[in-house]
Amino acid sequence: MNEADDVLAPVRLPQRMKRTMLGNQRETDEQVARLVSGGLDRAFRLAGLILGYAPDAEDVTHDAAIRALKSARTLRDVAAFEAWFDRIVVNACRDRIRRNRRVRFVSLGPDDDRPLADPFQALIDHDEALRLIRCLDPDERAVVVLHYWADLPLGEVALRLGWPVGTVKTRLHRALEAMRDEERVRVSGKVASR
Amino acid sequence: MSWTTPELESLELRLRDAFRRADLPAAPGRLRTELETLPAATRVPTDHRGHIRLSRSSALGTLLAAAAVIATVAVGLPLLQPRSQTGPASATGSHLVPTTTPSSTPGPTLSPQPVVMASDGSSISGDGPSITWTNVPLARFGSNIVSAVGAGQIGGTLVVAANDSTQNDAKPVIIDSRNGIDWTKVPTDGAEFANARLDYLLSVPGGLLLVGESILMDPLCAGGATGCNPVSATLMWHSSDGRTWQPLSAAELAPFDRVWIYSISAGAKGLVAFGLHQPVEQSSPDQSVVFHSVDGTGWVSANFPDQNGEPAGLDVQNVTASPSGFVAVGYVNTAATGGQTAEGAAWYSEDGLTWTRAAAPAGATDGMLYSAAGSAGMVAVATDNAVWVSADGRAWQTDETSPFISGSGWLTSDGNEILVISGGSVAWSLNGMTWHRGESIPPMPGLGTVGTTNRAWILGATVIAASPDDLSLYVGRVAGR
Repeated sequence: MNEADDVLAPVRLPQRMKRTMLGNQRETDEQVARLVSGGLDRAFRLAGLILGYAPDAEDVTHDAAIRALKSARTLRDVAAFEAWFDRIVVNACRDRIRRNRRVRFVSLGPDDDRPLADPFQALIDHDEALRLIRCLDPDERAVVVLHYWADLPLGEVALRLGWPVGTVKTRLHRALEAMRDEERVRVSGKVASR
Repeated sequence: MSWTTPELESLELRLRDAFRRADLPAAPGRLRTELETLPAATRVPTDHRGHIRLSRSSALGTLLAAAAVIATVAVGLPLLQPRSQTGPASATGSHLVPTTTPSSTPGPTLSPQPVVMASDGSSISGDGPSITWTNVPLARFGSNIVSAVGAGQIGGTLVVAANDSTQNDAKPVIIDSRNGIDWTKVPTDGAEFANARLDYLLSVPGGLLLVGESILMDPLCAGGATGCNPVSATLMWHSSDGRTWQPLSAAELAPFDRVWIYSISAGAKGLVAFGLHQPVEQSSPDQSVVFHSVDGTGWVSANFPDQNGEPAGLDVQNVTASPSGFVAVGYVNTAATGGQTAEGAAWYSEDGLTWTRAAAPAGATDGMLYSAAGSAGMVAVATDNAVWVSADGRAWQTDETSPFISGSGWLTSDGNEILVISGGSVAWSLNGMTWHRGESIPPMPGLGTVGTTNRAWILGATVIAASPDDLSLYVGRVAGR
C-alpha cells in the first residue's frame, strides 16, 4: 500500500464513539425542535407583519420551521437560536414576496379570493402608520418590522439580514422616506377629495 | 432636501406605538400539529388555494435525504489520523483537492487532531492556524456610530473604510495602520467626500477602490415628486497610497446612473459589480444590471443572458472573484410552476463580461446567498445554510455534511483561502471541501448565520473583522504567518 492509499484507508471509530456522536446529534435535533416549536408564534407574527397576509405567513412559517429542523445540526450555540430562526423566517418571507412580485403578470387567480378577516391585513389596513408599510419593497419591509416591531437595534437587524449595518441604515432611511412620501400622497388625496 | 428630520422622527414614534399596541395572532394550531407530525407526513401538501405546495414537499424530501446522509456518514466514516503522519486528508470525488495545508508555513503546534472525513469527500482536521484578535474601538474616529464596511492593504499599510453615521446622516471615515494596533485617521473632510456614505473597499491594480453612495436626495425626486423612485447616486474613489483619494468623474460613473450596487468583487480578472437599475417612476420594475472593469475606473456593461432568458425571473445575490474569473450565486424562479417556486442557481464568467449558467446540484431548491472562492475551489451558502461546493464554478454539488457549517459565523476569502470565523473557532480551506480548523482567540460571540459576507477581510497575515455590534474592529493575527 503506498502512501496515498494509506491516507484514504478507512479507519473506523470504536462503536462507543459513534454512539456518542449520534447521541449528541440527536440531542441537538431535539433541542432545536423544541426551540422551533416555542418560536412558532413569534415566527408567524414576524412573517405576518412582513407579508401582511396570514395564509402566506402560515406557509412561510411552515417552510421556515422545516428549514430550521433540517439545519438543526448547524446550530452550535442554542443561545443564538432566535437570531438564527429569525434569519430563516425573514429569508423565506423575502423569497415569497419576490416570487409573488415576479409572477404578478402571470395569472394567479383574483386577489378577491382572499378572506376578508385576515388578522394581519386588518391590523395593517386599520392603522394609519402601519398601512404605510404596504408601499415598501421586501427588504425595506423586513428592516422596518425587525427594527420597530421586534425592537432590534440596527446591528441585530444587520445580523438577521446578512447585510452590513450601513446598508440596514440606508434601507431604513429609504423606507421612512418612502412611507413619508406615501403619507403625503394620501393626505393630499384626501384634501383634494373634500 | 425636501424632508425634515422631525417628520421622520414622528413617523418612527407612530410606528413603534402602532406595533406596540398591535394584538397579533398566535400561530394556527394546525401549523403546530402539522409540524409535530412531520415524519409521518406523506401527503402532497397544498396551499390555501389548493395549489401543490412544492416548496414544502421538496423541503421535506431534502430533510429526509439529509437524515439518510447523516446516517450514512455516521456509520461509514470518521477516522482518526495523527497530523504528523501524512498531513491533511485528501478527499475523493471529482473535486480538485490540494494536499498542502492552506498556509505556506505551518500553524501552531497542536497535539494530534482528529480528521473527520465525510462520505461526500469533505473533511475537517484540527490543524488550521488559529487567529488571535485585538479589539480596536472605532468611537474615537467619529462622533456617532462608526462602523466598518471594508478593509484593504497597500504597501504594508492596513486601510479600513467606515462610516460615522446616524440614521439620517453619514460621514466617511478612513483609518490606516502599519501594525494593526495603532490606527490613524485619514483626512476625509474634503469636498471629494462631501455627502457620501461608503459601502465597499476593494483592492485594484495600483491601489484601492472605495465604492459608496451619495446621501443627498435624488435630484429627480427632489421636491417630493409623487411616484418618484429616489435613488442614491453611486460614488467611487481611487487611491494609490490609501491616504489621498481621487473621486471618479461623472463620466466614469455614468454607467451607474440610477444603479444601486448590491454586490461587488475584485480579483485577478478585474472587478464585477451587480446592481439594480431603478427607473425614475416607482411603478416601473427595477432591472438587474452587471458591470465589469479591469481596474475599477472604466466600467462597461456585461452580458448576462439569463436575465432575459428566464421567463419567471431570477435574482443574483452575491458575486465573488475566483482565480479563474468570477462566480455569481442566487436563484431562478421555476417557470414550470409559474414562478411560484425558486431553485438555487450559480453562474460563472472567465472575463466578467460573458456569463454562463452553471450546473446546479440535482434537487437543489433553496436560493443561494453567499459565495467565497479559494485557489482550488469555492463554496456557496443557501438561505437555509445548505452548502454547495465547486472546483471551478462550472458545476456544483451539495455538501450536506460539510464540517464547516456551524450555525453562525462569517465567510470571507482572498482568492486563495476561504475562511469561516465562527464563535470559538476558525476554519480554513483552499477548495471548500478540505477544512482545517483553528482557534478563535478569544471567541467571537454574536456572529450572524454562516455565510454573512463583507464582514471580514483576509489581508496577508492579518484578518480584520467588524465586531458583531459594529462598534469596533477585530484585528486578527494568524498564527505562524
